[in-house]
Formats: sequence, C-alpha cells, structure tokens
Amino acid sequence: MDIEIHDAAIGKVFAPDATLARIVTGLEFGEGPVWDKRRQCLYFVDNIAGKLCRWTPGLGVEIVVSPTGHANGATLDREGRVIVAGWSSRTVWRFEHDGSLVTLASHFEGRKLNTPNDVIMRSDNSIYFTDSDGGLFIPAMDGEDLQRYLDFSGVYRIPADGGEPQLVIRDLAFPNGLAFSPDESLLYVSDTWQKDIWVYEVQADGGVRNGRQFYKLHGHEPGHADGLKVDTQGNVYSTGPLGVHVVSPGGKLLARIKVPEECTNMAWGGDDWRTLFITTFHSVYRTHALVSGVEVW
Amino acid sequence: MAAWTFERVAGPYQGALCGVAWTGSDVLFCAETEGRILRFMTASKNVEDFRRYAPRISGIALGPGGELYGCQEGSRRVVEYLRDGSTVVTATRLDGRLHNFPRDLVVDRAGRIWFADPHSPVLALGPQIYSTLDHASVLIAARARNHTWFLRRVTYDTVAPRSVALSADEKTLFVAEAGGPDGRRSELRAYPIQGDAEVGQHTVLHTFSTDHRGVQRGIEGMCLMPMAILSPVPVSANAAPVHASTCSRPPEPCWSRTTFRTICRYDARSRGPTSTASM
Repeated sequence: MDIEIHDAAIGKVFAPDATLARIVTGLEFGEGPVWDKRRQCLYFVDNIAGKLCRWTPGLGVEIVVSPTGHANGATLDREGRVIVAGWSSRTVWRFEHDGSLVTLASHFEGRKLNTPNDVIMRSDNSIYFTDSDGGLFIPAMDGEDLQRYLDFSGVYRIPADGGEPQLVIRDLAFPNGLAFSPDESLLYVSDTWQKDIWVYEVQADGGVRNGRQFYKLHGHEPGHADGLKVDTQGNVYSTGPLGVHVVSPGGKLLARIKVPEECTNMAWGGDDWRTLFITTFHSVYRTHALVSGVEVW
Repeated sequence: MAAWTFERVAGPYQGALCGVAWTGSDVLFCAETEGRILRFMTASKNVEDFRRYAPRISGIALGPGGELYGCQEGSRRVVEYLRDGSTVVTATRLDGRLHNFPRDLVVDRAGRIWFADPHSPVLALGPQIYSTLDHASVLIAARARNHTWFLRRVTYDTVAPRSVALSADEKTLFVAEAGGPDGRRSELRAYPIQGDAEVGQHTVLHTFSTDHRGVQRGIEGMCLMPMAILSPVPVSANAAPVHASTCSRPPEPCWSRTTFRTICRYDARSRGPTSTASM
C-alpha cells in the first residue's frame, strides 16, 4: 500500500508492508459501508444504481434491497438492522429483519429534509445524520422531488425513542461524514464544500457545542471530505485528496493513504475490527491496520 | 433599421440572467448564479421569487397547458416545476447514457420538449462520474403512453447547439449553433421538420462574422415575434452581447433576454432615440 507519510506516528497505525486489495468493483457509485459482526459481512450501497448490497468473504456480493432511492451512508443499530441515510428518498430509513423498510425521519418542522447523506448511531440508541443537499442537484441521483425546502444543511439527532429529528448543527455548508470519538464525547463532521472537518463537544442531552475546525484537508488531488471514521486510539480517518487521510486526535495529519479511485467512505470491520474497508466510485477496497476501529453495534 | 429602447425592470443580479418566459401576464426569468427563478409582475412591476434553489438553471419554457420546464444545466437534466412547488425530472438518458448540459428548450403543442444539449466547459455539479455523449445535438423529451419520459435524438449535424425555437406552424426547427475555436462560425439554422420529430437538411439563415469588436458571439436565445418572424439575434459581439427576444406570441411589448445582469423591456411602440441595439 502506498502511504504518503506526514508523521512517524503513522507507523503505529499501519505496518510498512500493509496491502490494499480491491474486493468489489463494477459499481456506479459505491458508498455506505458498514460491517455486520453478526453475519460477518459488509453492507454497502451502489448509490446511483439504487442497490443495498452485502459482501461476504468467500461468497461475494448479493443485492439485499433494490431500488433504494439512491441510498447513501449506512450503519447498524443494536439489533443488527441496517439504518440508511436515504439521500434521494429524502428520508432516513431502517431495513427490518423481515425485509420491510421503516421510515425514521423525513421532515423537519414540516418541511422535507434535503437529502440525508450519512448516518451513525450512539450507544444510547439515538441516531445522528447529516442532511446536505447534494442529492438534489448531482446528475443521475434524481429522486421523486428535486426541490429544496430547507434553508440550511443540518446535522440532526433522532432520539432513542424516535420522534421528530432534532437539529443539532445548522451552520455547516455541506455536512457529509460524521463519527463519534471512542468515548462519544466528541462528534466529528466533515464539510465537503469547506474541505474540512469540524469537532463538537457532545452534551448530556445529545446536543453539541463549542464547534471548531479540527482539520483542513491537505492536497489538491481528486478527492473530497466525504466519509469519516475513527479508530479506538482516537485517530480520525477522512476521505480526501489522494485517498484516505489519517489524522491524530490532536488534528495533525499523520498520513495519506493513496487509493487508485476517488474515495467516498470507509468502515471498520473484520474479526478484530482492524480491517478498514474503503468504498470508491466504482469499487470496494480493504486494508489491515495495527489498531482496531470503533465497533459498530 | 428600427431603433430599440430598453427599460430596466429588474436587477441587477449576481451573474448573468438566463432563461425567460412569458406566462401571459408576467415574465419569469432565471438568475443562474443565484439559483433562482424570478417573476416580474407586469401589473405591479414588482419582482418576486418564483422558485428558489434552482441550481444552474438556464433556459425555461412553458408547455401548452402552462407547465413550466427548465434546463438545469449543471445537473444535466430537464425538469418540470410543478404548481405544488415540487420539481420533477423528465428523462436523462439517451440510449442508456446521461445526456449533456441542456441549455435551452421549447415545448411544442403536443407537449414534447425540444432542447439544445451542448457540451459545457463548466463541470457538472458534484462528483464527475459520467462522461458526456460523443455528440452535441438537439434532443426531444416526450412522454410514452404510460406517461414516462423518454429521449430521442433530433439533429445529427450539430456540434454546439445553444438555443432552439419552433416556427408557429411547428414545421421548422430553428437552431442556434455556436461557433468554436476551430474557426467554426456561429449560425442560425432552420431545419424542416419531417414526420414525427425528424428533421431534414438545414438551411443557414445567418452566419455570424467578425467586425471591429471581434468575433461575433452568435445567438444565446431566441423566440418568435408575433407575426411569426423569427426574432434574429444579430447584435452580439465579443464584448457586450445582446441576444434574442424571447416572447412567445405576446401581444406586446416584447421581452429581451440578455446576458446582462438585468432584464429589459423592449417597447416596439416607443422607438425612442436611445438605441442600445439595432436590427
């Protein structure tokens, strides 16, 4: 694996002989990877093709849901159900074990959401999602209604007991990936337009405060602030120019992992949660780290 | 040679103004950079937002039932703005491939959308996933019997179609073909419409040339004048281009579409001494 090293501390994250392998290709727009420890498989979406897929080692890829309304980011809840940022469907929805789909959020204060982009779940069962407007104007991601109704692109929280989404951040230009620190005291959110990552302190009521810029993307190669993940050491992983940026808990760039295609998102997984899966426009890659990632339920 | 006078009725706005359409009582026009469609109300002379969040909106046109369609150039699609405030896409793929950057359109009496689909030096919005078509043509979006939209290619000899218009009897398709760095001149072409939206060989009605201001830019938009005479669009140089009127059978006055940041009204009855453009 080709790594552009910016700090020697990256040696504690990736071994010098780490490899990057492509495990799936032929996608129109890969996104939404999440590892299912129960099934030992990787869920991911082909956004433009409108498919929720499952990759199982040794078995390959199968389509789980189609059409999906151009589903985007995904995570799992504590019951192992896939929760999806619905993007062009303008909803956040859950894939039930019986195969049905349940809408968790579709409006804020009576107006349709923009296009939910990525989603994560906290240990208290609350759900956080970003709602940028990209699905309303990016070619080939057309949904049923392309009109934007909200004057901002927010980050929302769905309480553990359900109900209307609560707006927790409203001043980012294009909130995209999001992740909690290992102890869930911090919330990281990437802003695609501003090409940076913001960090917020999470309050007891689930709201956030004291937002500040955490990291400004380095480089001018193809790639954007899109997906975001964290390892158990608190290092932050962001897609960006050249591939994947590994950033220390203090906001210092440790390295950029070169990926042959433009990256969209990542997921930790595998038996020991040390496998980093990376989705790109057309493929899914994986590499192995020396540290483990933050587990998904 | 009649003198033209222009009266600014709205603007200026950020960037160039693009599509314009006459509703029968008001004028809709597009502020592309601001992503807005605005309405100039002739009775009150007020301007209001007609539709916000219309990214990179270029040409707009009304259908026979008052339907409003628009070219969302940066999103590579033609959309319909519904009366309930929503926006829906028409057809985006020609033979399975995403079409180019629709720029201008006209709707015939059957409700079919004829649109110019050139390539663009400006990238599409969002990630660059899809290549463009290997041609830049005039396309038609039409509804199948199940009301779904489909696309059909109309022209096979265009390189950079920029604007389209139909004659009053809908037997002629006018196409503004842009020039290029390879020495191609901008042209105004007339294609005879044969059969079901197929066209024959075109006639060149006007070729734009070079004058002391440089290479004439050609046509940006056009429409028919009340007496079914195509409003030519000649006054366009490299500097401050003024383009075709865009009034579909209005009584009068006639509305001028410009690449200025304002929208102007041309009043044929009061040809005053101030001439900002001439025909």
